[in-house]
Amino acid sequence: MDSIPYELEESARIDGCGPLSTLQIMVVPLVAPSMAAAAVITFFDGWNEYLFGTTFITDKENWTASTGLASFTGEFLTPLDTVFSAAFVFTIPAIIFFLLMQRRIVSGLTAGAVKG
Amino acid sequence: MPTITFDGLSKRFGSTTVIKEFNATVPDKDFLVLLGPSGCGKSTMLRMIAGLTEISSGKLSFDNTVVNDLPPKKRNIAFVFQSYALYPHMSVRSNIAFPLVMDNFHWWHHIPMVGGLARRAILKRADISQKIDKVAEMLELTDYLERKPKALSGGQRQRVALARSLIREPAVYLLDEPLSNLDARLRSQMRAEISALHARVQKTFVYVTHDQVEAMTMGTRIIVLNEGVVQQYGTPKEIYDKPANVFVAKFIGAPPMNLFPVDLHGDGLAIGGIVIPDSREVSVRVKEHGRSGVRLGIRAEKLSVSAGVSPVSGSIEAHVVVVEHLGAETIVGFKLGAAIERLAVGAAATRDLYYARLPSDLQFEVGGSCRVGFDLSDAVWFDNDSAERIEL
Repeated sequence: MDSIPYELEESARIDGCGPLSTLQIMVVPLVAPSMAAAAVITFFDGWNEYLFGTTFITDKENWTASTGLASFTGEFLTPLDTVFSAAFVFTIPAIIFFLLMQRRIVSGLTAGAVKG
Repeated sequence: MPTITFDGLSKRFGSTTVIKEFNATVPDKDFLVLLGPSGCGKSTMLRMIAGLTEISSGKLSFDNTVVNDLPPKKRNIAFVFQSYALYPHMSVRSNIAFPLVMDNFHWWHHIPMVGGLARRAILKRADISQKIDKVAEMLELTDYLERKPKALSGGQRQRVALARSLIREPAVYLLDEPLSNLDARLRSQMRAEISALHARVQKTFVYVTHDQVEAMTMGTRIIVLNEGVVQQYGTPKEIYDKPANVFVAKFIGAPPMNLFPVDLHGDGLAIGGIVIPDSREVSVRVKEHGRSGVRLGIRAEKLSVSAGVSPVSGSIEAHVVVVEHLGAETIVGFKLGAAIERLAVGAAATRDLYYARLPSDLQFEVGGSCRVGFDLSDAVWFDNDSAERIEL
């Protein structure tokens, strides 16, 4: 938010915006790409959660997907076909989420606001 | 329509005083230019008028109503920023209409989606789109209304910023160096457009600039500021012809006013031991004032310079240091005294350098000798100690 030129907020103030409308009409649309990027990063962070999952979650019902995937490896046998199909299913939500958000992750939305 | 009155206005940031005791009255429909070097407090001044910066002490009134504590919106002003401050996520149309949209803002516009739809509905209202079209036509923006600011050129962005200020028909227009981001050609074009706009809307304009050409050509009145202190307040002609002090003399005019240190010398006045012809009358008056020396200020175009060493009556010896051909005229930089073999470089090159503005058909050679003629009737005089102008 710091990268939004201060003049924009001042200009909004002169045009009649209060603090709340400035936030709503000016700031939020302009920081939306950064918020989307942050959302993507935190989503993948959560999705990739494995270490904590295997260490602390004992109840099978609550396992994260990555922990579940690792549990396919048995003592005598590893069903590679099942592992790969589970891994494929596992990536689908991430791909869909990324496709939805990528349009928002565009740099330079503030281009054209101020010169320089 | 307001007359703006500054009554002992000052601004401090912590212990630093940026503006000291500012007093002035700007009549209605005036084009006031705040002129000064960078960091002199002119932008702060403008922001105080706009209400973006708090006033430390003193009173600011619009038509006898003190507006110190009014929020920007209530002051009925428009502000054009140096960086234009266009809203990048909105089309040109929405940018121009934004002040009108905000005039029709209700609390329930804060509700997500609903507010967006309501604002869109306001944009489509017949009276508002009519106003947008009118302003866009005036500033030749009709073809660009649906574009985003990033798809516009510098001059077009500038016009959008102007359009946005025009649409609310404010009583006062505040412009903060609006042309400093444009190239030279566009700048002179926009200068003319802003002047024409002022003539057309007949409102008070307050214009901040460090460019004296803008100040001289556009302003009906100029305030020259330096280090937060008003140096002079007057019309462009007054400021050019009769600068109030040495700072104004040096700041206004390109090249700046020549300031020769002058001493009493026998019956007349002398510059560095060279007696100025026909200076007896003035020297008597200098003596009457009880001064032993003054500074003589004379504009570059009031000097006459002729090449060669042959003494011309009423002139003193000098040598040419710089010759700048500008096409229609030539600026000749010279130093007093006989020509020296080696010209100085660095800071020494500009020390005691004086300028004359001459017709371009005269030929000068760098390093060559010349004679400089004075007409003391065109001169202004400055006190040596206070640097203020004195009448002689």
